[in-house]
Amino acid sequence: MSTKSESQDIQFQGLRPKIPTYIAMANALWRNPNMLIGLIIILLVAIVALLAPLLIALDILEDPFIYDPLNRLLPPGRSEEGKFYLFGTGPLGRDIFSIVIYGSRVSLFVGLSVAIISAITGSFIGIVAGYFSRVDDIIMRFMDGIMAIPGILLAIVLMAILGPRIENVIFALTVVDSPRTSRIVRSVVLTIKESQYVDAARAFGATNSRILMRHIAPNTFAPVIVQATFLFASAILAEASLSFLGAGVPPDIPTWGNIIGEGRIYFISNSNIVILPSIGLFLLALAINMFGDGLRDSLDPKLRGKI
Amino acid sequence: MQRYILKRLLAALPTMAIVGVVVFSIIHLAPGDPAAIMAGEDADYEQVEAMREAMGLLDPIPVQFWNFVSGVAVGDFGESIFSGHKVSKLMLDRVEPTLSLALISLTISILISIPAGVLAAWKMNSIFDRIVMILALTGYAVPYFALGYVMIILFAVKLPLFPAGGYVYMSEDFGQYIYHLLLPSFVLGFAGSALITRMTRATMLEVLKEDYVRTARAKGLGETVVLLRHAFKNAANPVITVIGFSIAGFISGVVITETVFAIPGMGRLIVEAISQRDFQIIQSTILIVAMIYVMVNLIIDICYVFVDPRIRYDS
Amino acid sequence: MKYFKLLPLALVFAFVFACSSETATSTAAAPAAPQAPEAPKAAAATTYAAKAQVQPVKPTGGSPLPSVSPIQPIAPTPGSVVKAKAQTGVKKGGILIWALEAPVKAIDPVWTTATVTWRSSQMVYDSLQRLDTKYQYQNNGFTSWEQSTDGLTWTFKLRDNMKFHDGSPVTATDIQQSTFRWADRITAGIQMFKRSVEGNFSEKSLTVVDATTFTLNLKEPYPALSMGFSEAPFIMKAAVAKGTDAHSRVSQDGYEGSTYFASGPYVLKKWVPGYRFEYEAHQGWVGKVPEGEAPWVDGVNVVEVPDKTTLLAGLKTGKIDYATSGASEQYPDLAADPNMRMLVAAPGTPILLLNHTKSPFKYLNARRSIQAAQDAEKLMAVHGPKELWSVCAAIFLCGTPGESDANAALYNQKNLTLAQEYRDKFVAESGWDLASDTIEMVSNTSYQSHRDRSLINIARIKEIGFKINMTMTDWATAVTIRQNKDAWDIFHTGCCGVPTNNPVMNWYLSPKTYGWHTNQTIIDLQAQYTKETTDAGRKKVLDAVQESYYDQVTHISPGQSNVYHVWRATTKGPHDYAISTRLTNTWMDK
Repeated sequence: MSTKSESQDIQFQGLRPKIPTYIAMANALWRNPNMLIGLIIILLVAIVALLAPLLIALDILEDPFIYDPLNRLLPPGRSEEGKFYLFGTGPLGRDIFSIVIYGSRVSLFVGLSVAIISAITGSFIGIVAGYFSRVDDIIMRFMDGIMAIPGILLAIVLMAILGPRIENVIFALTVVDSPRTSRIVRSVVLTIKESQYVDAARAFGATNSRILMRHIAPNTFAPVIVQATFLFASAILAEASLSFLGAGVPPDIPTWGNIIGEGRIYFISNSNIVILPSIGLFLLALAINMFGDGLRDSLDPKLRGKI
Repeated sequence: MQRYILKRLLAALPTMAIVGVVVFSIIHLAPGDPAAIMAGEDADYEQVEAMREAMGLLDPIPVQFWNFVSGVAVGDFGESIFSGHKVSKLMLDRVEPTLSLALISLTISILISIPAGVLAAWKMNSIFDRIVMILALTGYAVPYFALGYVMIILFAVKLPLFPAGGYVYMSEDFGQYIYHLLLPSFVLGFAGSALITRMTRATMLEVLKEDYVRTARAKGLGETVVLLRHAFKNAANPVITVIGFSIAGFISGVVITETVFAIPGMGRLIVEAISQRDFQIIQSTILIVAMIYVMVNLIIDICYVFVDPRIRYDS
Repeated sequence: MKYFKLLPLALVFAFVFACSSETATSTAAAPAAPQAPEAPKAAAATTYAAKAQVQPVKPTGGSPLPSVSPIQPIAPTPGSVVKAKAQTGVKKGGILIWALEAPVKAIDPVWTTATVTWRSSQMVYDSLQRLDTKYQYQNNGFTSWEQSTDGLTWTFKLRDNMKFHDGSPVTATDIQQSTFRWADRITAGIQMFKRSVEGNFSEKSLTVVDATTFTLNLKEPYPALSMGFSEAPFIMKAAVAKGTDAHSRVSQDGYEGSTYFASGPYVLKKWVPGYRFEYEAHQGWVGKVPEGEAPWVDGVNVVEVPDKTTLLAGLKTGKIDYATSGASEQYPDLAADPNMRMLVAAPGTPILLLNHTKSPFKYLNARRSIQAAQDAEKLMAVHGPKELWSVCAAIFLCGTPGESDANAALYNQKNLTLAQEYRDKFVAESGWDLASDTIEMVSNTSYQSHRDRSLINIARIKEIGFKINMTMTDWATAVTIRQNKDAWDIFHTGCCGVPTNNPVMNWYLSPKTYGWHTNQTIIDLQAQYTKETTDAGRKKVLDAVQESYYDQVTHISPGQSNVYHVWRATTKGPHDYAISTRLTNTWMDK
């Protein structure tokens, strides 16, 4: 890398937003209590999820993989054989409190994986489509086709082929979510591509890959990270919806969606089963959205309404 | 305008083709065998094979694909391999509940969200504004099925104000038809209104800062006129975009709402067909739903013209 | 104002508590006094004689409960003969709303044997015989049937005045053709005609003598026939039965209106798939079992309500008058409701199939190892409250003539040590590597009880010391995997109870394909069973079959599960006679 082009870069950077992302985020957190509350809830859930195996090992929580159907559907606060069931037991006799705590792991994992993978694949597709106008039409037509199929139906069909496994749920939801991300990224790329500093870089003889890496990709970062936050929340809800319809994570693995799906037929008689995971689901989705709103406002106010 | 619509319709053809190919290949990759389901628990190989033949599943995949495509081209969507009903008849029966649910939900959510959004922006940072924003956040995060069950328990079981589920066709009894759709539409509409409310409020806030709004106020025009004539009209465009987005969301939400409220719509038809591997129903209905989606987007784009005279598609 | 932002959280809690507080109390109350309210009701429901149509009901698609079967009371009242109960204050007329548990995909009971199709067929078709409360076949379409002295010719006389919905009389030819179509597809028919003069269904095997008489001509005696036609075929018009291959559907275009081709108590007037059926009373219908059976309501609307919560709400609010197959979880709630009546019925058998064609379960010791470890109570508890399942060693069902205690000691052993001994014997003889070789278990998520049982079983089999891998798919994929006998070792399914409660009809004892057992002793006994001429003789063979089943571990059946039917107290008499939900002699007090 020559000093000449470096100085050019500095020069061109002057045309981009200057504040580094992390400082913008920290600032926003300070100024926006909504975002802070969201972040705190997310972190709390994450800590609990990470600690779940330890809690099980310490016998504070019941092992979620041990079934005790003779003690099924106990009401909240019941003790049976020396075990105390704070929120009662589910249809297979598992302690609701334990499986909900344990279930947060999968919900978080699925949500986070879908958000990260679809952000990456979506950005990649969007950058390629936006920058190389020759393939733009083909790629975006294909994305339009996928987007025209209602997300949940596409996910159900994919799950029917792939079978219930966590990685399949992640794959199915990624297929559903990537096109939307790619569309957003593409529109950002299209704008930047026409901007002066890209023209200038090209005039200075920068290669396509250099322009992509140095100018285009960094500018898509803010919208992508905002989009990923919202995908995180929607993927958690989507996983739950799939499990609710019986097409999600395998039933032996407790997830919030699975617990609700399993407990939905007991909704009237044993509402304790679905209430705790529903609250968890709702709070987590709410927290992530609160956080995402703040993030969007601080990183890229122009995105308001686009996402 | 007509040229634009025609162009858009033609552009939709490749999209539809992609949907068709994607759906067809996905479901034929699926490992389930409808003949084995239908033949039953005591059937042996020969019986399953006979069933497979009777169901037309022995044709090579390309032949089946050709049959599908050539059928769709002339408007023939084939027959359910289980019940033998024409898929077009099944869909006709099911389209009304689904469209009704989606449209009434949309109406409810627009009726809730646009006034709420406009007023929230007008009275920014007031208690009303806060409540609206909190409800909007809630609508974002609440899963349809959980809300559906809560509504059933509260307003159908504890307080028997509404039916807990089911559907009455419009032609049978219009009053009952609306009555049965109110609760599910509210569930769907509540979630849908979240996005529209936020969008309305956000764009209204921007527009209210504009000079022409200030000018209008300075001229001594009433607040209502300022809000509706000057501000909202200019804020309407992004709101329409978001309504378009929500319609896509509604189509997904309908699948779950139909399950919870036992409404015999397209969503349930497809979900049941998937579990049974009724190929013909799956591929045809998904194609139709995708078509509806594309049409809705087209209609939204056309709506822009009427709302914002600056947009013209002919040039 | 800053704390305002916490309001959504407060809102959730308020919301949730609003709907949970009351339900929480009801949950607490239900277990406190569980038996008191429901016992008399169940007794009342089962006091009257039970009748059921014989038709196998399989876990085919469409039904959420594969173990649901033709309706049978668990404990039929001994000795009581089916008699019409004199009902007072009968109010005729009205439309009864019946909620069906799953969507009906087809209305041809020969083409598919799905539970819901069978239920809807009950309404529109007549059949030759029906089961009574003592699980004996009673004539329905016949007035008499006689066996010649050599046992080779059976003569059947039709009931008079049977009319199709279009008014034309039911003739022997109609029955002949209906029987042929049935025998082309259904095992019992194939079995029967195998023994006929031509070894297959033909005019010579089943001959029409006159309009109301036909004969069955056999080459060897088939004493099993005196027990009944087993699965009596539904009566269709000859032209329809003849014109439709048994492997294709009867055309469903003609179902609307009176041109329909059946003769049962109700005429199918309208069918909106996935939504509802509308039945109208067949005025020309003359019931047979029991005497004086008639449709009293003007019609029945069948609505499909797959969601159990919606079903419950519909029942409670009076939108639904009668429902087949309530959710097991809602049993306590409904039983405690004074506005509800219910009937626990239809024993079904959960099944654990073992693949006999490959290791490990090619080896008897491996099968015995699994058998020894089984804990029936734990497995059956997934079927819900105690009223809905029972631990029963008899594979031909407790509470029926097939009940037997042969080799019952091998049932429900819960003996992990013994299981491990068998495991070690198996390892020694087969070279199975416990560390690396894996048992492939296939289960499905479509049926909740299959899914739950497989989760419990997998934990148990791990305890024995086997490595096990579970493939959990939807039912459509699971049955497809099962067709490849190299792809599975253990398969979870469930079956249908009474129609298969003898050694010949029990699917899992009949060596077929997919890796079923091929035990010659059992095959011989099955042949023997059809030749026995007395009840005592048949019972002896049946005992011997059960003995071999336990000894050889052909498959594993952990117990008996039941479903229940529920109706509002205002619906009178849906089960006073025929439990087979034909909704005749039923009226509504509202």
